[in-house]
Amino acid sequence: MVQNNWALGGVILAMALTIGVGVYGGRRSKTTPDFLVAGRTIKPHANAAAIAGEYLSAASFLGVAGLVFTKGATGLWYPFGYAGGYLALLLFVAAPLRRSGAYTVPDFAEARLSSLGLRRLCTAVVVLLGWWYLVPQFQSAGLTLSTFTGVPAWLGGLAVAITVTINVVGGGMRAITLVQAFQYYLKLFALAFPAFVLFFVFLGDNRADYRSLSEPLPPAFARETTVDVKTAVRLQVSQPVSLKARGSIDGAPVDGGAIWAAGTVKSVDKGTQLIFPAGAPVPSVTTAAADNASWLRPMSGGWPQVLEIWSLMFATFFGTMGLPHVLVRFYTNPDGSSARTTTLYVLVLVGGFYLFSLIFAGLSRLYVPELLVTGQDNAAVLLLPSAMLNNWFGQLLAALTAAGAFAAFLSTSSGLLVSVAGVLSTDVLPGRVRDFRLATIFGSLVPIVCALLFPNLGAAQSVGLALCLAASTFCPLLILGIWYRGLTPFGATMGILTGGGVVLASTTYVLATTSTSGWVNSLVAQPGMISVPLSFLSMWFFSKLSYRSVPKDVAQVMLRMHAPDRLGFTKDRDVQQFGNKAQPPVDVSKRTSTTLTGWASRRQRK
Amino acid sequence: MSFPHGQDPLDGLGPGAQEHTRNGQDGHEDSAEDEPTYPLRGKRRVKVVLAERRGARRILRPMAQLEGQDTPIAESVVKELVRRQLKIAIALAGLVLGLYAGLPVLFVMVPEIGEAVIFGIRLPWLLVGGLAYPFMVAVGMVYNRAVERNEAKFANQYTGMVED
Repeated sequence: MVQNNWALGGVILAMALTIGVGVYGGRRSKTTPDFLVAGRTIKPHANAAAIAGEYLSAASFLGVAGLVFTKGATGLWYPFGYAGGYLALLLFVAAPLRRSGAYTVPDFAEARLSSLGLRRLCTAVVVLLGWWYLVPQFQSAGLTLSTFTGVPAWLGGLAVAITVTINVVGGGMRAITLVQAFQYYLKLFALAFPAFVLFFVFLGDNRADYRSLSEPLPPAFARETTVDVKTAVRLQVSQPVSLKARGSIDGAPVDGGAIWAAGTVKSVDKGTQLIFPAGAPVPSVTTAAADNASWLRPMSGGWPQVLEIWSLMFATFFGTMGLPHVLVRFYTNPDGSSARTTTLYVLVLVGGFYLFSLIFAGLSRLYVPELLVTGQDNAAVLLLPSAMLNNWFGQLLAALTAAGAFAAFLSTSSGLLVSVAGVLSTDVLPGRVRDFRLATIFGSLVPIVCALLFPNLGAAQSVGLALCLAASTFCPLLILGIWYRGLTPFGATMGILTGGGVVLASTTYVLATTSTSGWVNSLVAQPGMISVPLSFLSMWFFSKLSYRSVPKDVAQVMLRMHAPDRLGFTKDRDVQQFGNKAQPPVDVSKRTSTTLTGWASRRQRK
Repeated sequence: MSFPHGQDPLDGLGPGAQEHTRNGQDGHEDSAEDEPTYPLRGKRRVKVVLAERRGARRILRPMAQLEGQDTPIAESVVKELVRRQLKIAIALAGLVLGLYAGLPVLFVMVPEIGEAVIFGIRLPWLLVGGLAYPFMVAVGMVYNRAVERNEAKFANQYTGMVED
């Protein structure tokens, strides 16, 4: 098939460019600080592009357009929440975190609370979080590739794993920074260019074939459409529709014509084929807005939807700042105020990206309404170009969006892998460059094996739970560590154990149980509303209990984290620990008090 | 400040560079961004890092004062800075969260607002889908300016205090 080859070509091109840029960017990586934090020399605009490139995973590239496509105005809060996480990061974390001089999250824990036990706990959480996130990345990469090119699912995941491993082994953070910055612009182009073209196609189109979005009716099929239901769906019918069906509906086998009455809900089983005549109103999955009026109007679901939105804002605002692969990029800034500038740029880049997703969402509602029937809203970005332009140019645009989607998998996976490898190499191994490379290979081996062995783990849900785990462990640690003097190692440990424990327990429950309805279940499936406050509270409470063990150097650490950069209190712990062979000390006598301790410890080791 | 790197310290230019930076106050942020250069056989190019050195020179005494003994005055100045910064952060976070968590309530209670049209765009789409991003960037800019001002104030207080 023609389209498959085009899309496959786009994906292979994205992969080849990624490796090429990675090799180019990593050619100067020599020392451990290069591999861990890119020598802390990344300028704000490049760093912001890298952060945005890493953050805009497939969940953003495909998911945001899909969410707005199905949920309409209510779905607008999702991209808002995803971007808002960076505002919270800017306000509460960015500059102090960089000024702490730490190079990983566990290192921050030790720098702030001088506890080796807490450091080890944080190491375990980073590795767990990283793998938890990597498995669904590999899985959905495979699934996406197999859906649109016919390549077997395991091959896509394996290709992503191998590509990112090559890049990270070759150049560490230095290589990955350039790769991710490049991938941000690739993704932006892959979304913005088709969005522009398709918007003009829409303006020049004969509007009579399509039902306008402002009509208070469900979307309609413009021509006779055959829909193959690949996973079982529940459809809400808001306008009566006559169709032909072959397969099984509501548990009974059907073959031939059928009329669905308005206001009914139909359960369509896997493998059923539905044929809708031209002009038929589109029945949609029960999670989507049924007609265009409720699509355009926010909160058409009433108060339960308000709760859902609040829960979402809660999770994204606190979850983003706990993600180790996002945090690790903040250590690459030269100093605290450039960390702030970086975050501001990220907000611009991420926000600008989501605007194009909205164009895709609106056009998909007009041109690919059949996705409302199958519930595959994530495919909207990939299918829209060829649905609107049935010629070689449409195929080319489709190949471009496929390449962008693949870049999304690659950049997020490489960020996760760098953060896992950085922590493993410095906390489990001695932290030489060789150890970093070893840790990278080990760090990618475990999740790819998991992804290949358990292909049926719920990918979408596991990402939400991982975000929740980040929000209930690292977020309280960072916020209280930066702003609260009374934090003790015991309090921090108990907080992480409480928050993490609640999330892990609810995950086990979700995996074990089969029922998916009721508010208890929905709370358990999204435990952030409970686990995050609980973690904050227990961190505070147990710190109060153990107030005697407040670290002795807390005043000094607070000064270092909050004092302006030009006073020069920041001590880069990676340089102290691993040295920086790329910059030989020119004149040792010039090394004065701020770096004296680091220099002395380095001498001692020699 | 772009610093002339690649100088050979054996020429005696290294110390000269040190003199040069003592005059300039700004540009501290930029100097660390220079690409490291490597000593090569024959043609020796050595990167001279100045930012840290200058900072270190300037704060020699404050560091000694604060790190050596706990001076209650210095301590209280730091505490005040932290409190001020946190206040700004909480106020701005509260503003954004309050607005955008409040909008859903408004749209449920007064559905007509959700159907208002401004510039041909439905109000919620304009507010949440479009204006939310420039708004957040503006809040971030306000924050950056406010905290930098606090930090400058702190630096003045601090150095003044130490030089007394």
